[in-house]
Amino acid sequence: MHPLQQTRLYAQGHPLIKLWRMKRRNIAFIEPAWATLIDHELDGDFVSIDSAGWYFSNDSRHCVAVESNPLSKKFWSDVHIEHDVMTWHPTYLEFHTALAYFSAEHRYCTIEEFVSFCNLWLQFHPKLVIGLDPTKLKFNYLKFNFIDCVSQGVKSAHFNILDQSNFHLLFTITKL
Amino acid sequence: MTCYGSDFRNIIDYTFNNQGYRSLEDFEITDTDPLLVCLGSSIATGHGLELSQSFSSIIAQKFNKKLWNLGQGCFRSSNQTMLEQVEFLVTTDLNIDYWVIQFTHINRQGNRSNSYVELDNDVCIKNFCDILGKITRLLAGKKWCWLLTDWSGSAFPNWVTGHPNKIAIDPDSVDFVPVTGYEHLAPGDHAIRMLKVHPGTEWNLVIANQIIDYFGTNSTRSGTYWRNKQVGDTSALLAQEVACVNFLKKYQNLTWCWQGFSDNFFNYCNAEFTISNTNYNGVIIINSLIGVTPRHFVEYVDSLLHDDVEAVYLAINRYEFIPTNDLNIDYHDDLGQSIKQIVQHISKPFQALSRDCPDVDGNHFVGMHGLDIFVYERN
Repeated sequence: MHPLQQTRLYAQGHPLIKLWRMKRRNIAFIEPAWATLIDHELDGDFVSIDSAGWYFSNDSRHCVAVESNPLSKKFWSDVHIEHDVMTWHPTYLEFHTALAYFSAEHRYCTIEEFVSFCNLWLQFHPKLVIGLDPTKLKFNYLKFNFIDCVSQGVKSAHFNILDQSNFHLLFTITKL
Repeated sequence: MTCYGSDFRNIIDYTFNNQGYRSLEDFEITDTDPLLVCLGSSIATGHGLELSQSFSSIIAQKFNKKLWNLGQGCFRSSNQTMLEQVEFLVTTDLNIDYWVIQFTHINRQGNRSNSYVELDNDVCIKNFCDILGKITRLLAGKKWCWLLTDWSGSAFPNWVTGHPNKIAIDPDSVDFVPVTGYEHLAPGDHAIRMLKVHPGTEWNLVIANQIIDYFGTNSTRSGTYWRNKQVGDTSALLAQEVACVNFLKKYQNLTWCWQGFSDNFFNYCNAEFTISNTNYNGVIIINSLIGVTPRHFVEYVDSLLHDDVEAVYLAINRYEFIPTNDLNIDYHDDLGQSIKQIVQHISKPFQALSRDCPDVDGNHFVGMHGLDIFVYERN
């Protein structure tokens, strides 16, 4: 693939990076769902899975970012490149919360793949914060509820929906 | 005149032509010059500014086009009015190269007297979506863009906020018309309040530059939306486009209504086949429906199918339906089968063609998925 095309794909796969930087009415514009996420879910250090999480970092909150696309090095040099975050949990990660916010890996995967991802990462982290567009996953979203499908496969966990609007589903999975 | 609307400062020269629009020249329907048409409210009119400082004038000057600034201030202005203007203009032979539409507050319903009709916010959003949808269809294949001003703050559906022709919704309020010379009025006087909500020269310049950038990089509706960005060889046809071309070749003598993105594939079809959105007997719908409910989808397709239509090529993105069962369908477990169930609700019988490309591959990763293709053939 041409490098330019690859860069474009990366930028388009992370559309919210642009939003984050966008200024509106002379203050940084943060979507309500983001504000909820930052205020209540990301306390202290956290792991960001393939979702450009370094934009959440500040003085009191440190992000360790795992990305599948080497291009992300251009955006943040401290990022760890892991090619298979869906089925492999890197051993060097030890923080409490894991964040997968509109991860490119979650687009067009199947419910089964998503469930196995959740089960894998819940072994190492007590809480996952996940944002995605559930209609992009491969299941009949016209008939079934996404959380119902996932919760059947992810046992001993509590699901909490933070925001559900405009195709965007933001929720947490907490290990019981 | 130097006093107009809420501007009593006597420093701006307002000139209106015989059609009632702010222009030094009359707008003749027989005009053959290449035009830039701007529709909008008092903001597009340049209220409080010299005409040359309004964003549409800057854009027209940049592209060396004759400006038809059809912005209307005061209570006559509403988004419905702009739709009516577009509906009329597309039927004329005017040589309109660029369209710029500045939508006004979605709650603004001009009733041709000095008052507004206040509607529920949800109703306003629905009305605006209807208007935007109609304009999108009318201007398919043309160079156009829109922005929504007046700080509406409304929650729009995904397809509106992600609309490829969108310049901005609630753009930054950079500066306002300076209010001076109003010392004789009370601070809260209506004239002061109305004049100072109008954006100033800086804002107009910013918006003009955004639109110039947009037209410069987006030659038509979605020139950079997905395809041109992702496919290196822009003359190449994708698998699903070849499927469409093969179907169209079976009906060489038809005039096609184009309902799709206007990228290279539109240019290709426009050169090879006859396309007209006003007088047609065939319909091409390619991935133009984003964020619709099943009922909205069926009504949209039905609205295009008049009695003379002989063939329809319908390619839809199965991931873009809003998950609302508003057709009361007992859905199949499989999504693909469910899409077929929805298509069966269209008034004419469609047959399914196979999906020609996989869901995700290198060239279809972001904007384009394998499309579900259905065709209607009268004979």
